[in-house]
Amino acid sequence: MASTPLRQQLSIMRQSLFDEGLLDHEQVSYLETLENEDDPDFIENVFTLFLRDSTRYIDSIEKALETSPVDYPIMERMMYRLKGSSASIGASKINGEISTLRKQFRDGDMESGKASLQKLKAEHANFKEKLVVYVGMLKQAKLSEY
Amino acid sequence: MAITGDSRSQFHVLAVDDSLIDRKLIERLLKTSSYQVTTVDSGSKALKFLGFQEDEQSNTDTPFGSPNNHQEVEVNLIITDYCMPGMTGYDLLKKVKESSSLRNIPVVIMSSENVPSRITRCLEEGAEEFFLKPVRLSDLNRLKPHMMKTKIKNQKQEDDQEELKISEIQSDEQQQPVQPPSPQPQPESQPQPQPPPPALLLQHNNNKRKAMEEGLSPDRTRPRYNGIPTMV
Repeated sequence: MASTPLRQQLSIMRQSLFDEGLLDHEQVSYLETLENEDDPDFIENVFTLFLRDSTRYIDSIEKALETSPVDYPIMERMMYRLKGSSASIGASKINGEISTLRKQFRDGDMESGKASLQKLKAEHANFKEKLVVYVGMLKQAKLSEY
Repeated sequence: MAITGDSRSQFHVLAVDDSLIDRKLIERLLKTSSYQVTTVDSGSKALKFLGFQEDEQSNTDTPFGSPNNHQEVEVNLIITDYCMPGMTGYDLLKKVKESSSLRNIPVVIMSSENVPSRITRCLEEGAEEFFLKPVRLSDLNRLKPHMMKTKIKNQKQEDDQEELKISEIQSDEQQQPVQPPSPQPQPESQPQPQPPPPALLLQHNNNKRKAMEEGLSPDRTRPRYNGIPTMV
């Protein structure tokens, strides 16, 4: 496909997401190979799904922590899901943070765990912002080519 | 029925995962590999789809599968996540293997966690493979032989049934000679038939585990199943 200014911008943004360690190059490239005429919006859909689900998971983790007593089963499940889905789309930083978080809570280190959760939230907010822009650009690029 | 290169479009996989993203991913992977896919978000929905009857006992071996086979749609493989709320993938695996009508369907377990005891447990319960997530296309290539096995078995059952019906008709109506369908040995019509050395079957099990631990995908040629005792 022609390298339009939009496509070039897209390419630059994609690379910066890799360079910043927000997305894993290998996993994303792999997802891109799965996109074809049968499912031309696969990547956008999966990224959008992640944005929606990850927000829910993090909110649930926070709520579970705030309940008294702490709802550990819910926390475990939400952390597990977030770990899984972040790995699936190549959200490496988030995946790393969640692993740390999980370990700290499992070890019973609530203080560190809570601090890590705040860090995760910040990372997630940053990631979300950038991914929203990227998905928007993906859609725009496609539309401009129709 | 000739097995050609695009016979894969005839294979129907039931994918079970409570994570929507992972369901989308596995669906895309399977469709890319030209399989038909149905996705469900729980073990109980999977059993429902399979037409599972709660009071089935596994002691009756029905060679033709007919009276006890409540399967609505033919499923050639079940791929399920291990960690799911309610019924886990392991629970689903057990239920399938305990069911007389479903136990021949190969089951594959997926998990995002590499827990050796979990892997062993699943394989011992009858899972054909254990994939670590994120699942790759190369992992799916390991599924072909398992699905071929059921296709061959099902086809043989259908052929046997056909022959039985024909011979019944012949004994009733002697005036009408009917051509019995010639049994088609499936393996012969495979594009690349290769007799596996006996060691391959054993090696297969070791490779599976090794592959899991090392994250490799053993590149296997398609084994021929003629004359090999099938393990279910």
